[in-house]
Amino acid sequence: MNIFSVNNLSYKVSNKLIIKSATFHVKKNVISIIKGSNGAGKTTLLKILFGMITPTSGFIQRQFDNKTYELSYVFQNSVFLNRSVEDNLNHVLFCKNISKSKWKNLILKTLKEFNLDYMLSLDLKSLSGGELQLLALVRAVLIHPDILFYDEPTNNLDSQNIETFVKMINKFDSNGTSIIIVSHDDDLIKKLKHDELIMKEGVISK
Amino acid sequence: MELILQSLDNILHLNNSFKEVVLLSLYVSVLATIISSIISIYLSSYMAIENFSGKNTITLIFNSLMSLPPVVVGLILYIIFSSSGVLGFTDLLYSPQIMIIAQFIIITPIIISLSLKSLNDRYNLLDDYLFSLNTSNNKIRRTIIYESRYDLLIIVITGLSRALSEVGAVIIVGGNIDNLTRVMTTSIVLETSRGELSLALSLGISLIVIAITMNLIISYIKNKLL
Repeated sequence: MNIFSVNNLSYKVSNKLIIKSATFHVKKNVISIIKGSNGAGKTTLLKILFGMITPTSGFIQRQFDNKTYELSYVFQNSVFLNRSVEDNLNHVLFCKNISKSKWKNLILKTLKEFNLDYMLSLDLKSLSGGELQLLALVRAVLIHPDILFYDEPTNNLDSQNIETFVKMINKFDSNGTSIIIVSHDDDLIKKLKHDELIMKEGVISK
Repeated sequence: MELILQSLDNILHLNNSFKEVVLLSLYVSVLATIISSIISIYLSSYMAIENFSGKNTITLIFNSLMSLPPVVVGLILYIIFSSSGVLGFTDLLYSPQIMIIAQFIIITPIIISLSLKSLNDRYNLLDDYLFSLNTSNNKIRRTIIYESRYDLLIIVITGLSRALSEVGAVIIVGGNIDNLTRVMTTSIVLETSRGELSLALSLGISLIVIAITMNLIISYIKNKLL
């Protein structure tokens, strides 16, 4: 079963065609990786699928209920609020209308699951780029999303953090989360059982 | 030298007329700043995240009103609230309330323009993240206000400084009436013209102390919290 069916989708900025007539499907409950070199239009495509950017032409059929499905997005360079680690995580739950009494347990449980609970006692400013990237992933999965969008996950991650990341992604995959990753990292791609879409100069192929 | 000693004596011994003038100044300016800040920050946060026609024009108008001459504000309010004016029946002329209104009008464009700049910058930094949360505009507004809290505090203090140092409007609408509408700035003007230099100097020193205190608070916020 597909979650996205994309038909003849194009996106143009200032007369430059970023995505050229893309037609493809994204399957449900699997890891889909959109692979391609820098500047191929992968991030733009991911943002279009999420709904952040409106395509110039074409059609996307979302085969899920927008109102009941939870979508999460992890950015290539995630921004954080000028607050503590815990308050950054609290903010997501606040925005998602989760009862305040559940915040602490939910955060602790998610962090402990991946041995990241030590972060709670640290100042956000003292976290490394890799730790921030993992924190961004924790922030995105706190609400148990049905679809997780992830833009260039291995940026800033060292080999140890990549292992943690792979473990986290496999866990969400086994929980039934549909995961769409954009990456140019062949090493990472080899480590994940996935469906692959290749993007080159705005053109997408299987 | 004797003049300075006498001025300091007024301050240290809280001379009654001196105390009343300082307290009324603080009452009028603090209240005008609180009311203006609540309205301005709410309005700015709305303008920062919403797109509507005329947004750029409204922003331009508020930016232009930042340099609104206080005496003109005083004059317009005087015309409106004088006994033959449209709102003359309210009987507010020569009362602390009309002084609060005057200061509110003077500082609101300042607080709106500066807050809008700060909230816009914050929203541009966070908009993708906030969009990804698929949350309500009310929660987005609360987030960017909280994230800009130190900038906004500095802006509010700037507004308060402007209100406290303002003289042109409050002297026209307040009338500088003893025990009723006499504030620090208008009192300095009066006491100087009457030759009561020690009281004028006491008030001047107090104003400077308040201005320095506010600058110290701003500098502390900038250095320690930002």
